[in-house]
Amino acid sequence: MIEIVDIWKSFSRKKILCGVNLSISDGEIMVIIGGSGAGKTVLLKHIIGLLKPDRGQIFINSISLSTAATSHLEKIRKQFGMVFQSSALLNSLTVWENVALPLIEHTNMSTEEIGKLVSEKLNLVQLHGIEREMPANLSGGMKKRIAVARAIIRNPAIILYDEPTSGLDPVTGHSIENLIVDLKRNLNVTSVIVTHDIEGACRMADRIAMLLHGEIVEVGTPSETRKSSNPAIRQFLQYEK
Amino acid sequence: MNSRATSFLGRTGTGILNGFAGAGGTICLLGKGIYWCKASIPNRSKIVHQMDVAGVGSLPVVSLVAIFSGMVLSLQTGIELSHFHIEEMVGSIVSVSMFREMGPVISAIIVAGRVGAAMAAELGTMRVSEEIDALETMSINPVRFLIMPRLAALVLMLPVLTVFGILIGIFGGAVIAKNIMNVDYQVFLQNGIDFLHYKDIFSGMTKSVVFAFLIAGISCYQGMNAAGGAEGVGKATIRAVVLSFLFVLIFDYFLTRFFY
Ligand SMILES: Nc1ncnc2c1ncn2[C@@H]1O[C@H](COP(=O)(O)OP(=O)(O)OP(=O)(O)O)[C@@H](O)[C@H]1O
Ligand SMILES: [Mg+2]
Repeated sequence: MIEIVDIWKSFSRKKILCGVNLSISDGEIMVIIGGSGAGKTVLLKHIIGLLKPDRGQIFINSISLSTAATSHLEKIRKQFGMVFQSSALLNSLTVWENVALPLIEHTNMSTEEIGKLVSEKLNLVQLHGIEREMPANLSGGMKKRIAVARAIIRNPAIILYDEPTSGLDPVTGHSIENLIVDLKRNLNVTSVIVTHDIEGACRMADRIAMLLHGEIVEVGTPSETRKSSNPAIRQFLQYEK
Repeated sequence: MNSRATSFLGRTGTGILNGFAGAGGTICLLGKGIYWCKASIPNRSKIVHQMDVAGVGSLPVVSLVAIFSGMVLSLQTGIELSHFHIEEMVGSIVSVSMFREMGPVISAIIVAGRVGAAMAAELGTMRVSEEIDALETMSINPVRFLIMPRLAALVLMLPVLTVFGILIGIFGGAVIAKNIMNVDYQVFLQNGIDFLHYKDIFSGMTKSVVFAFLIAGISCYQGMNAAGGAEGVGKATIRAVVLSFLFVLIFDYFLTRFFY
Protein backbone atom coordinates (compact mmCIF):
# COMPACT_ATOMS: atom_id res chain seq x y z
CA MET A 1 0.00 0.00 0.00
CA ILE A 2 1.43 3.34 -1.08
CA GLU A 3 -0.18 6.49 0.26
CA ILE A 4 0.84 9.87 -1.06
CA VAL A 5 -0.57 12.58 1.15
CA ASP A 6 -0.50 16.23 0.12
CA ILE A 7 2.97 16.34 -1.45
CA TRP A 8 4.39 19.75 -2.34
CA LYS A 9 7.67 20.26 -4.16
CA SER A 10 9.30 23.20 -5.84
CA PHE A 11 12.73 23.67 -7.40
CA SER A 12 14.12 27.18 -6.86
CA ARG A 13 10.67 28.82 -6.64
CA LYS A 14 9.31 26.84 -9.61
CA LYS A 15 6.35 24.88 -8.23
CA ILE A 16 6.27 21.35 -9.61
CA LEU A 17 3.96 19.45 -7.27
CA CYS A 18 1.20 21.33 -5.46
CA GLY A 19 -0.62 18.98 -3.14
CA VAL A 20 -0.56 15.56 -4.79
CA ASN A 21 -2.80 12.95 -3.17
CA LEU A 22 -2.92 9.38 -4.39
CA SER A 23 -3.17 5.97 -2.84
CA ILE A 24 -2.18 2.77 -4.57
CA SER A 25 -3.25 -0.56 -3.16
CA ASP A 26 -1.29 -3.82 -3.15
CA GLY A 27 -1.20 -5.63 -6.47
CA GLU A 28 -2.59 -2.67 -8.34
CA ILE A 29 -1.24 -1.30 -11.60
CA MET A 30 -1.44 2.47 -11.37
CA VAL A 31 -0.56 4.45 -14.46
CA ILE A 32 0.28 8.12 -14.11
CA ILE A 33 -0.15 10.16 -17.26
CA GLY A 34 0.55 13.80 -17.83
CA GLY A 35 2.25 16.18 -20.23
CA SER A 36 5.98 16.52 -20.64
CA GLY A 37 7.40 18.46 -17.71
CA ALA A 38 4.29 17.90 -15.59
CA GLY A 39 6.38 16.42 -12.79
CA LYS A 40 5.73 12.71 -13.28
CA THR A 41 9.36 11.73 -12.80
CA VAL A 42 9.62 14.03 -9.78
CA LEU A 43 6.56 12.33 -8.24
CA LEU A 44 8.00 8.86 -8.90
CA LYS A 45 11.28 9.82 -7.24
CA HIS A 46 9.36 10.93 -4.18
CA ILE A 47 7.72 7.52 -3.87
CA ILE A 48 11.11 5.83 -3.47
CA GLY A 49 12.57 8.60 -1.32
CA LEU A 50 15.15 9.93 -3.80
CA LEU A 51 13.58 13.38 -3.45
CA LYS A 52 12.21 14.80 -0.22
CA PRO A 53 8.92 16.70 -0.36
CA ASP A 54 8.79 20.30 0.86
CA ARG A 55 5.55 19.37 2.56
CA GLY A 56 3.45 16.24 2.90
CA GLN A 57 4.11 12.60 3.59
CA ILE A 58 4.50 9.33 1.78
CA PHE A 59 3.64 6.07 3.52
CA ILE A 60 4.80 2.68 2.33
CA ASN A 61 2.76 0.05 4.16
CA SER A 62 1.94 2.70 6.79
CA ILE A 63 5.62 3.58 7.36
CA SER A 64 6.45 7.19 6.65
CA LEU A 65 9.40 7.66 4.30
CA SER A 66 10.28 11.09 5.65
CA THR A 67 10.75 9.96 9.24
CA ALA A 68 12.56 6.71 8.40
CA ALA A 69 16.27 6.66 9.28
CA THR A 70 18.76 5.98 6.49
CA SER A 71 19.27 2.35 7.52
CA HIS A 72 15.52 1.84 7.66
CA LEU A 73 15.11 3.53 4.30
CA GLU A 74 17.52 1.02 2.82
CA LYS A 75 15.37 -1.79 4.20
CA ILE A 76 12.19 -0.26 2.78
CA ARG A 77 13.86 0.16 -0.59
CA LYS A 78 14.65 -3.54 -0.79
CA GLN A 79 10.95 -4.06 -1.54
CA PHE A 80 11.27 -1.73 -4.53
CA GLY A 81 12.49 -1.96 -8.06
CA MET A 82 12.80 1.12 -10.22
CA VAL A 83 13.23 1.67 -13.94
CA PHE A 84 14.61 5.14 -14.62
CA GLN A 85 13.52 7.18 -17.60
CA SER A 86 17.19 7.31 -18.63
CA SER A 87 17.67 3.61 -17.71
CA ALA A 88 20.58 4.64 -15.42
CA LEU A 89 22.63 1.49 -15.98
CA LEU A 90 26.10 1.53 -14.45
CA ASN A 91 28.34 2.27 -17.41
CA SER A 92 31.42 0.73 -15.86
CA LEU A 93 29.79 -2.70 -15.57
CA THR A 94 28.74 -5.23 -18.20
CA VAL A 95 25.08 -6.00 -18.86
CA TRP A 96 25.39 -9.21 -16.83
CA GLU A 97 26.94 -7.38 -13.88
CA ASN A 98 24.30 -4.66 -14.06
CA VAL A 99 21.41 -7.09 -13.84
CA ALA A 100 23.17 -9.25 -11.25
CA LEU A 101 24.26 -6.33 -9.06
CA PRO A 102 21.36 -6.38 -6.55
CA LEU A 103 21.90 -10.12 -6.06
CA ILE A 104 25.68 -9.83 -5.76
CA GLU A 105 25.33 -7.05 -3.18
CA HIS A 106 22.48 -8.41 -1.08
CA THR A 107 22.58 -12.20 -1.25
CA ASN A 108 25.08 -15.01 -0.83
CA MET A 109 24.04 -16.81 -3.99
CA SER A 110 26.65 -18.62 -6.03
CA THR A 111 27.62 -17.28 -9.44
CA GLU A 112 25.75 -20.15 -11.17
CA GLU A 113 22.53 -19.40 -9.30
CA ILE A 114 22.85 -15.71 -10.10
CA GLY A 115 23.64 -16.50 -13.72
CA LYS A 116 20.50 -18.63 -14.02
CA LEU A 117 18.31 -15.83 -12.64
CA VAL A 118 19.98 -13.21 -14.83
CA SER A 119 19.38 -15.12 -18.05
CA GLU A 120 15.82 -15.89 -16.95
CA LYS A 121 15.06 -12.19 -16.47
CA LEU A 122 16.86 -11.19 -19.66
CA ASN A 123 14.70 -13.74 -21.50
CA LEU A 124 11.61 -12.11 -20.05
CA VAL A 125 12.61 -8.81 -21.68
CA GLN A 126 13.51 -10.57 -24.95
CA LEU A 127 17.26 -10.08 -24.77
CA HIS A 128 19.75 -12.85 -25.40
CA GLY A 129 23.47 -13.12 -25.86
CA ILE A 130 24.38 -9.59 -24.79
CA GLU A 131 25.55 -10.42 -21.28
CA ARG A 132 29.16 -9.45 -21.97
CA GLU A 133 28.38 -6.15 -23.72
CA MET A 134 28.94 -2.77 -22.09
CA PRO A 135 25.83 -0.56 -21.77
CA ALA A 136 27.46 2.20 -23.84
CA ASN A 137 27.38 -0.08 -26.90
CA LEU A 138 23.64 -0.75 -26.73
CA SER A 139 20.59 1.00 -28.14
CA GLY A 140 18.26 3.05 -25.93
CA GLY A 141 15.51 0.44 -26.13
CA MET A 142 17.90 -2.34 -25.14
CA LYS A 143 19.10 -0.33 -22.16
CA LYS A 144 15.50 0.27 -21.12
CA ARG A 145 14.82 -3.46 -21.16
CA ILE A 146 18.00 -4.24 -19.22
CA ALA A 147 16.86 -1.68 -16.67
CA VAL A 148 13.56 -3.57 -16.43
CA ALA A 149 15.44 -6.84 -15.94
CA ARG A 150 17.53 -5.23 -13.19
CA ALA A 151 14.44 -3.86 -11.47
CA ILE A 152 12.69 -7.25 -11.35
CA ILE A 153 15.71 -9.41 -10.53
CA ARG A 154 14.93 -9.65 -6.80
CA ASN A 155 11.18 -10.08 -7.29
CA PRO A 156 10.32 -6.82 -5.52
CA ALA A 157 6.82 -6.18 -4.19
CA ILE A 158 6.61 -2.70 -5.73
CA ILE A 159 8.04 -1.68 -9.09
CA LEU A 160 8.19 1.88 -10.37
CA TYR A 161 8.52 2.28 -14.14
CA ASP A 162 9.39 5.65 -15.68
CA GLU A 163 8.27 5.33 -19.29
CA PRO A 164 9.07 1.62 -19.69
CA THR A 165 7.87 1.40 -23.29
CA SER A 166 9.08 4.68 -24.74
CA GLY A 167 11.69 4.15 -27.42
CA LEU A 168 10.61 0.55 -28.03
CA ASP A 169 9.08 -0.84 -31.22
CA PRO A 170 5.39 -1.81 -30.84
CA VAL A 171 6.13 -5.53 -30.60
CA THR A 172 8.74 -5.25 -27.85
CA GLY A 173 6.65 -2.56 -26.18
CA HIS A 174 3.71 -4.96 -26.02
CA SER A 175 5.86 -7.70 -24.57
CA ILE A 176 6.97 -5.34 -21.78
CA GLU A 177 3.34 -4.43 -21.12
CA ASN A 178 2.48 -8.13 -20.91
CA LEU A 179 5.41 -8.68 -18.58
CA ILE A 180 4.13 -5.97 -16.23
CA VAL A 181 0.64 -7.47 -16.22
CA ASP A 182 2.03 -11.00 -15.72
CA LEU A 183 4.08 -9.85 -12.72
CA LYS A 184 0.88 -8.56 -11.15
CA ARG A 185 -1.10 -11.73 -11.95
CA ASN A 186 1.55 -14.20 -10.84
CA LEU A 187 3.33 -12.40 -8.01
CA ASN A 188 0.80 -9.73 -7.01
CA VAL A 189 3.36 -7.01 -7.74
CA THR A 190 2.28 -3.40 -7.22
CA SER A 191 3.27 -1.27 -10.20
CA VAL A 192 3.40 2.46 -10.67
CA ILE A 193 3.94 3.35 -14.30
CA VAL A 194 4.61 6.76 -15.77
CA THR A 195 3.85 7.04 -19.46
CA HIS A 196 2.68 9.27 -22.28
CA ASP A 197 1.16 6.37 -24.13
CA ILE A 198 -2.52 6.43 -23.16
CA GLU A 199 -3.35 3.41 -25.33
CA GLY A 200 -0.80 1.30 -23.52
CA ALA A 201 -1.98 2.76 -20.24
CA CYS A 202 -5.51 1.59 -20.92
CA ARG A 203 -4.28 -1.91 -21.75
CA MET A 204 -2.26 -2.32 -18.55
CA ALA A 205 -3.83 -0.17 -15.91
CA ASP A 206 -6.20 -0.98 -13.12
CA ARG A 207 -6.49 2.73 -12.60
CA ILE A 208 -5.15 5.77 -14.42
CA ALA A 209 -4.22 9.03 -12.70
CA MET A 210 -3.81 12.29 -14.58
CA LEU A 211 -1.19 14.71 -13.29
CA LEU A 212 -1.86 18.29 -14.35
CA HIS A 213 -0.53 21.58 -12.99
CA GLY A 214 1.05 19.81 -10.03
CA GLU A 215 -2.08 18.00 -8.92
CA ILE A 216 -3.79 14.69 -9.61
CA VAL A 217 -6.90 15.95 -11.37
CA GLU A 218 -8.59 12.62 -12.02
CA VAL A 219 -8.22 8.99 -11.04
CA GLY A 220 -10.26 6.22 -12.63
CA THR A 221 -10.34 2.87 -14.39
CA PRO A 222 -9.40 2.85 -18.07
CA SER A 223 -13.05 2.82 -19.16
CA GLU A 224 -13.84 5.72 -16.84
CA THR A 225 -10.84 7.59 -18.21
CA ARG A 226 -12.00 7.03 -21.78
CA LYS A 227 -15.39 8.51 -20.91
CA SER A 228 -13.92 11.37 -18.87
CA SER A 229 -15.17 14.86 -19.51
CA ASN A 230 -11.93 16.45 -18.28
CA PRO A 231 -10.63 18.55 -21.19
CA ALA A 232 -6.97 17.65 -20.53
CA ILE A 233 -7.75 13.93 -20.72
CA ARG A 234 -9.96 14.40 -23.77
CA GLN A 235 -7.03 16.11 -25.46
CA PHE A 236 -4.71 13.23 -24.59
CA LEU A 237 -7.21 10.72 -26.02
CA GLN A 238 -7.88 12.78 -29.11
CA TYR A 239 -4.25 12.96 -30.24
CA GLU A 240 -3.60 9.32 -29.51
CA LYS A 241 -5.26 8.09 -32.73
CA MET B 1 25.90 52.07 -6.05
CA ASN B 2 24.33 50.98 -2.83
CA SER B 3 22.66 48.02 -4.45
CA ARG B 4 25.93 47.06 -6.13
CA ALA B 5 27.62 47.09 -2.74
CA THR B 6 24.93 44.91 -1.21
CA SER B 7 25.03 42.47 -4.10
CA PHE B 8 28.82 42.28 -3.74
CA LEU B 9 28.44 41.63 -0.02
CA GLY B 10 25.71 39.14 -0.75
CA ARG B 11 27.87 37.25 -3.21
CA THR B 12 30.86 37.27 -0.87
CA GLY B 13 28.66 36.01 1.94
CA THR B 14 27.20 33.26 -0.21
CA GLY B 15 30.69 32.31 -1.32
CA ILE B 16 31.93 32.03 2.25
CA LEU B 17 28.86 30.04 3.30
CA ASN B 18 29.28 27.71 0.31
CA GLY B 19 32.92 27.26 1.26
CA PHE B 20 31.99 26.21 4.77
CA ALA B 21 29.23 23.94 3.47
CA GLY B 22 31.72 22.32 1.09
CA ALA B 23 34.29 21.85 3.83
CA GLY B 24 31.66 20.37 6.13
CA GLY B 25 30.36 18.11 3.40
CA THR B 26 33.85 16.93 2.52
CA ILE B 27 34.69 16.11 6.14
CA CYS B 28 31.35 14.34 6.54
CA LEU B 29 31.94 12.30 3.36
CA LEU B 30 35.46 11.40 4.55
CA GLY B 31 34.03 10.29 7.89
CA LYS B 32 31.49 8.05 6.19
CA GLY B 33 34.19 6.71 3.87
CA ILE B 34 36.39 5.81 6.85
CA TYR B 35 33.40 4.24 8.61
CA TRP B 36 32.67 2.01 5.61
CA CYS B 37 36.25 0.73 5.60
CA LYS B 38 34.79 -1.84 7.98
CA ALA B 39 33.36 -3.43 4.83
CA SER B 40 36.70 -3.51 3.07
CA ILE B 41 37.11 -7.31 3.14
CA PRO B 42 33.99 -8.14 1.09
CA ASN B 43 34.77 -5.21 -1.22
CA ARG B 44 38.45 -5.99 -1.63
CA SER B 45 38.20 -6.59 -5.38
CA LYS B 46 36.94 -3.02 -5.85
CA ILE B 47 39.79 -1.68 -3.71
CA VAL B 48 42.39 -3.67 -5.63
CA HIS B 49 40.95 -2.39 -8.90
CA GLN B 50 41.20 1.21 -7.69
CA MET B 51 44.73 0.58 -6.40
CA ASP B 52 45.68 -0.58 -9.85
CA VAL B 53 44.09 2.46 -11.52
CA ALA B 54 45.39 5.01 -9.03
CA GLY B 55 48.73 3.54 -8.00
CA VAL B 56 50.16 1.39 -10.75
CA GLY B 57 48.81 3.75 -13.40
CA SER B 58 50.55 6.74 -11.83
CA LEU B 59 53.90 5.01 -11.50
CA PRO B 60 55.41 6.08 -14.86
CA VAL B 61 54.53 9.77 -14.42
CA VAL B 62 55.66 9.85 -10.80
CA SER B 63 59.00 8.25 -11.72
CA LEU B 64 59.59 10.63 -14.57
CA VAL B 65 58.79 13.75 -12.55
CA ALA B 66 60.71 12.47 -9.51
CA ILE B 67 63.88 11.63 -11.42
CA PHE B 68 64.03 15.04 -13.04
CA SER B 69 63.28 16.80 -9.75
CA GLY B 70 66.12 14.89 -8.11
CA MET B 71 68.44 15.77 -10.99
CA VAL B 72 67.57 19.48 -10.90
CA LEU B 73 67.88 19.59 -7.13
CA SER B 74 71.28 17.94 -7.28
CA LEU B 75 72.48 20.21 -10.07
CA GLN B 76 71.29 23.47 -8.51
CA THR B 77 72.63 22.80 -5.02
CA GLY B 78 75.76 21.07 -6.29
CA ILE B 79 76.81 24.10 -8.31
CA GLU B 80 76.42 26.39 -5.30
CA LEU B 81 78.14 23.96 -2.94
CA SER B 82 81.09 23.57 -5.30
CA HIS B 83 81.84 27.30 -4.82
CA PHE B 84 82.61 26.39 -1.22
CA HIS B 85 84.28 23.10 -2.21
CA ILE B 86 81.79 21.05 -0.23
CA GLU B 87 79.97 19.47 -3.18
CA GLU B 88 80.06 16.06 -1.45
CA MET B 89 77.31 17.48 0.84
CA VAL B 90 74.89 17.37 -2.10
CA GLY B 91 73.85 13.85 -1.09
CA SER B 92 72.47 15.00 2.23
CA ILE B 93 70.54 17.91 0.72
CA VAL B 94 68.97 15.77 -1.98
CA SER B 95 67.94 12.94 0.31
CA VAL B 96 66.67 15.12 3.16
CA SER B 97 64.64 17.41 0.92
CA MET B 98 63.32 14.45 -1.06
CA PHE B 99 62.10 12.69 2.08
CA ARG B 100 60.75 15.71 3.89
CA GLU B 101 59.25 17.72 1.12
CA MET B 102 59.71 16.96 -2.54
CA GLY B 103 58.69 13.29 -2.55
CA PRO B 104 55.36 13.68 -0.73
CA VAL B 105 54.40 16.92 -2.50
CA ILE B 106 55.39 15.85 -6.02
CA SER B 107 53.52 12.55 -5.73
CA ALA B 108 50.49 14.25 -4.22
CA ILE B 109 50.34 16.88 -6.96
CA ILE B 110 50.60 14.28 -9.70
CA VAL B 111 48.02 12.06 -8.06
CA ALA B 112 45.68 15.03 -7.53
CA GLY B 113 45.94 15.95 -11.20
CA ARG B 114 45.65 12.43 -12.49
CA VAL B 115 43.61 10.38 -10.02
CA GLY B 116 41.66 13.14 -8.26
CA ALA B 117 40.47 14.55 -11.58
CA ALA B 118 39.45 11.08 -12.75
CA MET B 119 37.54 10.43 -9.52
CA ALA B 120 35.64 13.71 -9.76
CA ALA B 121 34.83 13.22 -13.44
CA GLU B 122 33.77 9.61 -12.99
CA LEU B 123 31.60 10.19 -9.94
CA GLY B 124 30.23 13.41 -11.43
CA THR B 125 29.17 11.59 -14.59
CA MET B 126 27.53 8.90 -12.49
CA ARG B 127 25.71 11.57 -10.51
CA VAL B 128 24.32 13.47 -13.49
CA SER B 129 23.37 10.29 -15.36
CA GLU B 130 21.38 9.13 -12.30
CA GLU B 131 23.61 6.08 -11.73
CA ILE B 132 24.08 7.06 -8.09
CA ASP B 133 20.31 7.45 -7.66
CA ALA B 134 19.93 4.00 -9.20
CA LEU B 135 22.37 2.56 -6.66
CA GLU B 136 20.33 4.11 -3.86
CA THR B 137 17.10 2.61 -5.18
CA MET B 138 18.83 -0.79 -5.08
CA SER B 139 19.71 -0.17 -1.39
CA ILE B 140 23.37 -0.07 -2.35
CA ASN B 141 25.11 2.56 -0.27
CA PRO B 142 27.05 4.78 -2.70
CA VAL B 143 29.65 5.60 -0.05
CA ARG B 144 30.42 1.93 0.53
CA PHE B 145 30.20 1.04 -3.15
CA LEU B 146 32.04 4.00 -4.73
CA ILE B 147 33.79 6.21 -2.18
CA MET B 148 35.33 3.72 0.25
CA PRO B 149 37.28 1.75 -2.41
CA ARG B 150 38.68 4.97 -3.89
CA LEU B 151 39.62 6.37 -0.49
CA ALA B 152 41.21 3.15 0.74
CA ALA B 153 43.12 2.66 -2.51
CA LEU B 154 44.54 6.17 -2.45
CA VAL B 155 45.53 6.03 1.22
CA LEU B 156 47.34 2.74 0.56
CA MET B 157 48.93 3.71 -2.73
CA LEU B 158 50.03 7.32 -2.29
CA PRO B 159 52.65 6.48 0.39
CA VAL B 160 53.94 3.68 -1.84
CA LEU B 161 54.19 6.06 -4.79
CA THR B 162 55.89 8.58 -2.52
CA VAL B 163 58.58 6.15 -1.37
CA PHE B 164 59.11 5.09 -4.94
CA GLY B 165 59.38 8.72 -6.09
CA ILE B 166 61.84 9.54 -3.30
CA LEU B 167 64.14 6.65 -4.17
CA ILE B 168 64.07 7.44 -7.88
CA GLY B 169 64.67 11.13 -7.16
CA ILE B 170 67.69 10.33 -5.02
CA PHE B 171 68.99 8.04 -7.74
CA GLY B 172 68.64 10.85 -10.30
CA GLY B 173 70.43 13.23 -7.95
CA ALA B 174 73.27 10.76 -7.47
CA VAL B 175 73.76 10.30 -11.21
CA ILE B 176 74.05 14.06 -11.72
CA ALA B 177 76.39 14.43 -8.70
CA LYS B 178 78.66 11.74 -10.14
CA ASN B 179 78.72 12.97 -13.71
CA ILE B 180 78.82 16.72 -13.19
CA MET B 181 80.20 17.35 -9.72
CA ASN B 182 82.30 14.21 -9.66
CA VAL B 183 80.88 13.05 -6.32
CA ASP B 184 81.18 9.28 -5.90
CA TYR B 185 78.00 7.27 -5.50
CA GLN B 186 79.28 5.95 -2.20
CA VAL B 187 80.03 9.41 -0.81
CA PHE B 188 76.66 10.69 -2.02
CA LEU B 189 74.83 7.80 -0.38
CA GLN B 190 76.83 7.92 2.86
CA ASN B 191 76.16 11.65 3.20
CA GLY B 192 72.50 11.09 2.46
CA ILE B 193 72.15 8.43 5.14
CA ASP B 194 74.21 10.29 7.76
CA PHE B 195 72.08 13.42 7.66
CA LEU B 196 68.72 11.68 7.41
CA HIS B 197 66.76 11.34 10.67
CA TYR B 198 63.90 8.99 11.38
CA LYS B 199 61.79 12.08 11.84
CA ASP B 200 62.34 13.06 8.20
CA ILE B 201 61.08 9.72 7.03
CA PHE B 202 58.18 9.75 9.47
CA SER B 203 57.08 13.29 8.62
CA GLY B 204 57.27 12.58 4.90
CA MET B 205 55.12 9.48 5.23
CA THR B 206 52.60 11.24 7.49
CA LYS B 207 52.31 13.98 4.90
CA SER B 208 51.61 11.55 2.11
CA VAL B 209 48.86 9.82 4.12
CA VAL B 210 47.26 13.17 4.97
CA PHE B 211 47.50 14.26 1.32
CA ALA B 212 45.79 11.04 0.24
CA PHE B 213 42.83 11.76 2.53
CA LEU B 214 42.67 15.34 1.26
CA ILE B 215 42.75 14.42 -2.43
CA ALA B 216 40.26 11.56 -2.11
CA GLY B 217 37.90 13.55 0.12
CA ILE B 218 37.89 16.68 -2.03
CA SER B 219 37.65 14.87 -5.36
CA CYS B 220 34.92 12.46 -4.26
CA TYR B 221 32.89 15.24 -2.68
CA GLN B 222 33.10 17.40 -5.79
CA GLY B 223 32.13 14.46 -8.00
CA MET B 224 29.23 13.36 -5.80
CA ASN B 225 27.85 16.90 -5.79
CA ALA B 226 28.17 17.62 -9.50
CA ALA B 227 25.00 18.97 -11.06
CA GLY B 228 23.93 20.20 -14.44
CA GLY B 229 25.09 17.80 -17.13
CA ALA B 230 28.45 17.66 -18.86
CA GLU B 231 29.27 21.25 -17.97
CA GLY B 232 28.66 20.53 -14.30
CA VAL B 233 31.00 17.54 -14.45
CA GLY B 234 33.68 19.74 -16.01
CA LYS B 235 33.31 22.34 -13.28
CA ALA B 236 33.40 19.68 -10.56
CA THR B 237 36.61 18.28 -12.04
CA ILE B 238 38.26 21.70 -12.16
CA ARG B 239 37.27 22.40 -8.56
CA ALA B 240 38.54 18.99 -7.45
CA VAL B 241 42.01 19.58 -8.95
CA VAL B 242 42.38 23.22 -7.90
CA LEU B 243 41.18 22.60 -4.35
CA SER B 244 43.34 19.49 -4.01
CA PHE B 245 46.47 21.42 -5.10
CA LEU B 246 45.62 24.26 -2.76
CA PHE B 247 44.92 22.12 0.28
CA VAL B 248 47.93 19.88 -0.30
CA LEU B 249 50.16 22.96 -0.16
CA ILE B 250 48.36 24.52 2.81
CA PHE B 251 48.52 21.29 4.81
CA ASP B 252 52.13 20.83 3.73
CA TYR B 253 53.04 24.12 5.39
CA PHE B 254 51.20 23.38 8.62
CA LEU B 255 52.48 19.82 8.85
CA THR B 256 56.03 21.09 8.38
CA ARG B 257 55.43 23.65 11.14
CA PHE B 258 54.06 20.88 13.30
CA PHE B 259 57.05 18.57 12.81
CA TYR B 260 59.94 21.05 12.87
N1 LIG C 1 16.62 18.35 -9.92
C1 LIG C 1 15.86 19.31 -10.48
N2 LIG C 1 16.20 20.60 -10.32
C2 LIG C 1 15.44 21.58 -10.86
N3 LIG C 1 14.34 21.37 -11.57
C3 LIG C 1 13.95 20.11 -11.76
C4 LIG C 1 14.69 19.00 -11.22
N4 LIG C 1 14.07 17.87 -11.58
C5 LIG C 1 12.99 18.23 -12.29
N5 LIG C 1 12.92 19.57 -12.41
C6 LIG C 1 11.85 20.31 -13.11
O1 LIG C 1 10.63 19.75 -12.75
C7 LIG C 1 9.74 19.73 -13.87
C8 LIG C 1 9.13 18.36 -14.00
O2 LIG C 1 10.14 17.43 -14.35
P1 LIG C 1 9.85 15.91 -14.59
O3 LIG C 1 11.13 15.29 -14.98
O4 LIG C 1 9.15 15.34 -13.41
O5 LIG C 1 8.85 15.93 -15.82
P2 LIG C 1 8.11 14.70 -16.46
O6 LIG C 1 6.67 14.85 -16.16
O7 LIG C 1 8.75 13.44 -16.04
O8 LIG C 1 8.34 14.98 -17.99
P3 LIG C 1 8.73 13.95 -19.14
O9 LIG C 1 7.46 13.30 -19.55
O10 LIG C 1 9.26 14.82 -20.22
O11 LIG C 1 9.72 13.00 -18.59
C9 LIG C 1 10.53 20.17 -15.06
O12 LIG C 1 10.12 21.47 -15.40
C10 LIG C 1 11.95 20.19 -14.60
O13 LIG C 1 12.60 21.30 -15.14
MG1 LIG D 1 10.00 12.11 -16.82
